[in-house]
Amino acid sequence: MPATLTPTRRDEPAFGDGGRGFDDLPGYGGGDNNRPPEPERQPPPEGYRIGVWLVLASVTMLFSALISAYVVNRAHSMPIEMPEVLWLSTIVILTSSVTMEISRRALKRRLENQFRLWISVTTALGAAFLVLQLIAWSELKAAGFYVNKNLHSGYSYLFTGLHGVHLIGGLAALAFVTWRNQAKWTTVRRRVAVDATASYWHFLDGLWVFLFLILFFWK
Amino acid sequence: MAEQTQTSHAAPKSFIRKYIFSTDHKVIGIQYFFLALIAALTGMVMSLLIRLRLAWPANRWPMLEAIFPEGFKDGLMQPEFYLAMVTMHGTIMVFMVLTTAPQSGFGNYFLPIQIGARDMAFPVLNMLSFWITFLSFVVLIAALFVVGGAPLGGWTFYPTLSAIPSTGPGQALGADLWIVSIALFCVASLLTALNFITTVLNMRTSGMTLMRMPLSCWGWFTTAVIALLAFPVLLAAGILLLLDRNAGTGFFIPSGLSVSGNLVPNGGGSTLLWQHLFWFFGHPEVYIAILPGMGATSHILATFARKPVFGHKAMVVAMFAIGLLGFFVWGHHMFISGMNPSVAIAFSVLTLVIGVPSAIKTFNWLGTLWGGRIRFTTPMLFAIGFVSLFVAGGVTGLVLGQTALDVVFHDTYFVTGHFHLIMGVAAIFGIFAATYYWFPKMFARMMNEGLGKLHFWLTFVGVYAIFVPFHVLGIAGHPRRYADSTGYEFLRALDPLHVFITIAAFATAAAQLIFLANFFWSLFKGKRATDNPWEATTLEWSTATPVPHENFGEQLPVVHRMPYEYSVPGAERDFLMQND
Repeated sequence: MPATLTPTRRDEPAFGDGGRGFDDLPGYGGGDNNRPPEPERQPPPEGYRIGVWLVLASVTMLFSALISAYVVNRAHSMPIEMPEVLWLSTIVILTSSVTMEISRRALKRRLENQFRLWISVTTALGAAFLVLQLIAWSELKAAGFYVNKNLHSGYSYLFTGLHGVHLIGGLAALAFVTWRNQAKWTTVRRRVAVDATASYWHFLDGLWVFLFLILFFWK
Repeated sequence: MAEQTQTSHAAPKSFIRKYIFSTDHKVIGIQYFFLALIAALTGMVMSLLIRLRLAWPANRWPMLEAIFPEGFKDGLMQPEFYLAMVTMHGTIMVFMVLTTAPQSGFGNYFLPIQIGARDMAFPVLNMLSFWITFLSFVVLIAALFVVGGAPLGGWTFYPTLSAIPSTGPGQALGADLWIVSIALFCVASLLTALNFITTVLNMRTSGMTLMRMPLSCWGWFTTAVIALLAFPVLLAAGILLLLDRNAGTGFFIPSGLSVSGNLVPNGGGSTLLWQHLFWFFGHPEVYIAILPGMGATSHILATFARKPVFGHKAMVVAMFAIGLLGFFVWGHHMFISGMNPSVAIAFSVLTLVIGVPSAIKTFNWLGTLWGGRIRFTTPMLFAIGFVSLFVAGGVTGLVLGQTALDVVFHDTYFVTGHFHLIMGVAAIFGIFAATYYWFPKMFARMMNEGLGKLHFWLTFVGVYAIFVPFHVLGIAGHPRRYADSTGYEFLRALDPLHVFITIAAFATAAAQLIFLANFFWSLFKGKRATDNPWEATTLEWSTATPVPHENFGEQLPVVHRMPYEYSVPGAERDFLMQND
């Protein structure tokens, strides 16, 4: 058996879509040459993935509560002008989801440079989205819709603001998976972390589209 | 997000990394425990002040005036001070004690050990949760001392008064700090819940299937699931309220409201919206407080009855059923809000349905005791006390769950008596049972059994002496929250009962000094504990005492059997460890 093949295979368990579950993943934590081999069963690298799904559950509850409040307050029926720049920011965040997906797949095919390129593009688009949201705020303000103008404008600031705060968390996760010292984790763990970040990013993308629709197109 | 570590790391050497900003789940568990202990003492002192006012409303307390010059003008306790005490007592007890000690305290320490893990899934996140909780406690205490007075809106903090800073004393900066503190607490609890769930799903050792987990782990796991889904809703409500108070929005303020003759400029919102959001969190919160106690009680009853838990699987299912149903009954806190009667019926029926899994649990506890060779140790006494209080507080829940009766009892002492028995004292008994049971593992010494039993009996009789009369007060129509009932002729006859309750409260509080003395004496001078002093079966008793860094030696244990294999026929001892 060629010696070089074994670690590669150990490093490439069948996981992701249609993976075989946790318990039969071979060699979690394997591939780290600095440590002596450990006989003990290591926890699967799925922690990040589970963690992110739980984060998404609680963020969903947070926004469900706020959207329920929005509905109960009948805020949608109050007049407010939509800042035109939100079209642009929507396009930007949708594009960033596509680039995130390109970079995730590049990593899966071990194309390190492509991965870095596209994840940087994603980060830049995320930052651009935040700037556009701030411009939208200033447009709202210029049109006289302050946070206390009516409930609709209050919710507009609140939804965009809270979404932005969560997006900053997403940018931090992107920076983490991009810049973390690669020697400190295994290829498998890194890929799970990137997958988890991608799930979070796509969720924020979808959440924004939903908020955008409910704020300005639900009459 | 923190890297999950299960591979060996050297134990931290410096004092700060080891004991202050530690990522070790055991240290964090003990930190939570002591935070809850301090909070419990604070909350208890506040309850005694409340009782003073209710028993002797016209009495002057010059000594207390020296401590609280504002609250005791001329030695008389001011109604605002009384309400602030009610608010802070409730908030501290519900959040900082009942949510913190059983879940974050004992859960942090024992969940990873019981499932055979070296630490939590995200140790750094775990450390962050503790320090955010600590910050939240500091902010809450700061709210007591700020200009404009301590918050007095009750732990439910209903708008519209709480949404408008100008409505009176206690609605200024103190109220803002209260909301900020609760928001921080929400964030910390979310991080903890995330960590617990990931740990249970991802970190179990070989052979530890979900059904082989001890019921205490099931309690923590279920609680974490509830917390993950309930706390975001409270966070949302808190953000909206903070905006109403500081940004001029009117999410909770109806249009055309005037305060002291001045029209409130912001409005258009709904006061009831807060109640829906708050109670959507608030009812599951009751189960967040009690479910870890249920888990610990099941665990302890089996250990000292020397029998497997009766209906292990049914216990797990019942626990999850209670947690799930808890999300659909918030309306029973709002029966008198003008709710449509057919909606109220739906909430009422769902509420009564919770009686079914609760009864399953109760009968299974009794079934576990039935025919057992019971060892009446202190933790066992407190676990049995838990069952007693759970039943006593639970039956009045069936009374209050019915709309027709709730309309009468709402906002009387009947409700106060009900939730103190089931959510307050039962959960506290769960904490005591857990403390006496796990103390040997946490601190490597035994607590004194004689003092423990004395503490149990005084507390057990004491809490019934306090809270059974609450129900009598309620049936007689005594309203809650009134600082003064002297102006109401029909309540005069109840004055002696108030005096009795207050005396019982002081006696019970004094009995807690026995616990404190026992705790701290045992901490330093108690008998050395062996690895498995209770002859129990689960993994925390298979490792050394004191628990080594990363919980187990070289090799993680491998689990071969169910958690409570006591009195196994043909075995050498009367119990088999999970990893035997």
